[in-house]
Amino acid sequence: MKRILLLIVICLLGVLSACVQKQILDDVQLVTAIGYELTNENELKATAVTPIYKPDKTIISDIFTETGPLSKEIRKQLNMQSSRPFVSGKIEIGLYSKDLAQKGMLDLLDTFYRDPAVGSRAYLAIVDGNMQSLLEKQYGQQDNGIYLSHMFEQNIDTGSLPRTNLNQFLSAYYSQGIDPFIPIVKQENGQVKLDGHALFRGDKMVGELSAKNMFIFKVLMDKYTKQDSTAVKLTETNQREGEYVSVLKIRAKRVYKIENTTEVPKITINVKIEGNVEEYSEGQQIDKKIIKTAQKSMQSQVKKQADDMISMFQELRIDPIGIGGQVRSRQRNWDENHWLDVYPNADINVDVQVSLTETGIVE
Amino acid sequence: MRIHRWYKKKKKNDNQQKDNINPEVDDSLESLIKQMKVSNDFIYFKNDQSPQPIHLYYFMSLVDSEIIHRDILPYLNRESLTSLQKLKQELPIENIEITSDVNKIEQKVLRGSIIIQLDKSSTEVALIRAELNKAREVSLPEVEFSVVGPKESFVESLDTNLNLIRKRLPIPELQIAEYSVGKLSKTRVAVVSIEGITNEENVNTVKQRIQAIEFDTINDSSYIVQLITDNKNSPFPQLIDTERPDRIASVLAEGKVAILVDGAPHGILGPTTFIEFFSAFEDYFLNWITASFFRLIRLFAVIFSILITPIYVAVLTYHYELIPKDLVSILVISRREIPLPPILEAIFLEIAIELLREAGARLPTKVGQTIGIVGGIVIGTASVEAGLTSNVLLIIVALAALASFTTPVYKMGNTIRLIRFPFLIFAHFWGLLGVAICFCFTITHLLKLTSLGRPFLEPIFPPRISDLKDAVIRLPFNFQAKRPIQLQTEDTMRFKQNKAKDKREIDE
Repeated sequence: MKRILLLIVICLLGVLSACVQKQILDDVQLVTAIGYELTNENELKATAVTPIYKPDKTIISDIFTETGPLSKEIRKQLNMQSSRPFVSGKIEIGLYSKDLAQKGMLDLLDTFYRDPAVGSRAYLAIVDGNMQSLLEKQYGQQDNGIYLSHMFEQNIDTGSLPRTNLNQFLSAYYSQGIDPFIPIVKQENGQVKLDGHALFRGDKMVGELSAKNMFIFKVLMDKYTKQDSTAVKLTETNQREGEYVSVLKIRAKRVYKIENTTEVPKITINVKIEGNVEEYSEGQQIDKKIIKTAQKSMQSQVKKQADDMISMFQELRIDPIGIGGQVRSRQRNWDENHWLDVYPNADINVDVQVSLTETGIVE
Repeated sequence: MRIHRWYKKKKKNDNQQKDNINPEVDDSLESLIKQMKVSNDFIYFKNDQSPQPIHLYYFMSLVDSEIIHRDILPYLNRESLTSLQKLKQELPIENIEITSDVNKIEQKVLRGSIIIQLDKSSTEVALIRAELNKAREVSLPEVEFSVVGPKESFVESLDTNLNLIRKRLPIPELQIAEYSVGKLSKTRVAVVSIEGITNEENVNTVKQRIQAIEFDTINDSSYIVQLITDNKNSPFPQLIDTERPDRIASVLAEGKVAILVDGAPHGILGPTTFIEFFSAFEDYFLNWITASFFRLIRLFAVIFSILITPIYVAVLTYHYELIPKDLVSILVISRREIPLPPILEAIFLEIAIELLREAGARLPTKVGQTIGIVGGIVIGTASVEAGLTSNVLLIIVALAALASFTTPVYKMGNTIRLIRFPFLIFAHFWGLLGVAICFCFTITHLLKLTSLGRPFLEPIFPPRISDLKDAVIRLPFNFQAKRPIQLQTEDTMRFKQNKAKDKREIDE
């Protein structure tokens, strides 16, 4: 009996092996980035970036463009241009044009997260400007999809980009008390560059955060911005007008204090920032006085920017930093609709404490 | 179930086959001598010089002529010998047997004894041992070489081998039971165990299985291993063979049974566990931390060796998504020009390595080394340049082959090389799922295996925590006070743990 079973298994191994779709690595056309935009006829236009591996071991990127009503339909069209089938398993970044994002993009993301081959850690970006010219240019030694993915990775680890990817977007989209955002990239002087965030209400882009606010945004949102730096203009003293210090190695912590959760809440966000001073526009002499001034200036600047940003969010009725989520976690009977009603009028205060601890290895 | 009727072997009615090869010979001494005289190396002569004529019979090719010349012939001439009893007193050789049992005479003379007959018609003869012992000198272990530690290994003589063991265990409890196995070869097989430590059940299993062997010639211990092993259809060896007398002595003390075979430079050990196949005896010569590290390395090497090529094939054929983005370009570039699918590429290289190994093993040492280098470098580079295999796979296969050589027991190394191929085929057909299925098959098979009736996967399954002290990690000696549970020894303690723990100072 056992032998017959074994015989059957071996037979099945041979017979059923054709049922599994083979996708041999070098016989498929890998797509590393895909950009979507709207055409004038309201059709989708997709631009796929694929790496071309040249015989001298260099990699250049190539783009394929096609229009169609649905993204998988476009894939079919793309296959008609290519010697190898397009596969989606190595998509590192999905790019969307601004007008598409303003119309709502959940249906486009749907094909992304429905496809088991696409990782949920793929990055998303909104493109400001011409999609095709952004994807066409050869940026680094790799193809553009990998280049952009490395760029995002690097900025999340060390720069002022909060953690963001497909998974985070969808989690923010489906959660109560937080709204999603996507970084904006644009082409500038032939290089691709991060340029603020697109802010979403639901799946529609409703606002934009400029690049200079990205630092404050990360301070209010994410755990650490360790290798990030910011320039602080010294104020509050007449002598030092127009002087700057640069603050590096910033660590930020936030503590929420929420009162009166049932009615219009009063929310205080205590932000503690630690950092090192490593550059001073007036040369070497950084004494305690200057540091004190710098601390005070930074406190007031961060507070002002943060207050402005939050009141902008309140005006737009969006909540990308997840204040609602904080309230929700402290409240038993949380009602989303009620929160949405009271949020624009909520009294949200940012309390900033800055301590600059080191001034580098030179006294 | 008609289908498998053709599987069933026909029962043969050969039970009545006679043990005797030539049935025409009857049981008298005379006919025995007549039969032997046909061989030209059988010597018969009558010593006429002595007062009483003496008849001597022996095989020239089996006896040491030195003993005849020095210890027998002079004494036969000196005195008048009237009876075999007197002969026994006169000769300076112990253990002279006087018998008329023809079977015994036949056995002894074929092992190198001399028959002395006083009267040609009498059936009573004296048997004097004078066998020629031509054995290799005890030399360095070659298969299980160790940098530190004893450097002696077994030779092809059972008596020398037993001597090597007894020297290491000078206790009366060390018991040796000898059997003669093989219808033609009559090979001496010794079962060695320590009374009061080794579980009687284990010893009896071994003895019973050895007595039950039906075979004509036993030329090596490997024959015995194959004949008494629990599952003969398993690629995994279930008994360890070792050429180190120190290893045998040490595991005898642990409570295992050892089997030594005349003519074989390897001893057999059992019952054993899967993990033991990956522990070298050198592990006990090193500090426990280093030894444990090397064991872990070896374990890693085995897993690496079995799985790396199948994973390469599976990932490149089915799961390109799994490859990290920075590795994709390396893999694609190295495979860009290759016309073969990953499985053929992998099988091509694996077989090339197997060929090299086989050629290296068959050729004389000097040429073998050259073949290894030439094959490894030239064929490897050439096949990459010809575009038949990729650089990455060449590295992977070479590393996997290297890793498979780290197993200290040669037979287990062979098994590891073999089971890579089913894994490869499964990987090709079903990707990583296939690798997982094949792994399940392997684990199930291992779970079912036993070694002399004891579970083969112990201490992992059945889980025996205390036996883990000498499995993947070798703990220091003072943790090793208990004998392995797997062996079910009669005396469970090797030494007193408390006493071993105190450090004695000089002034105590």
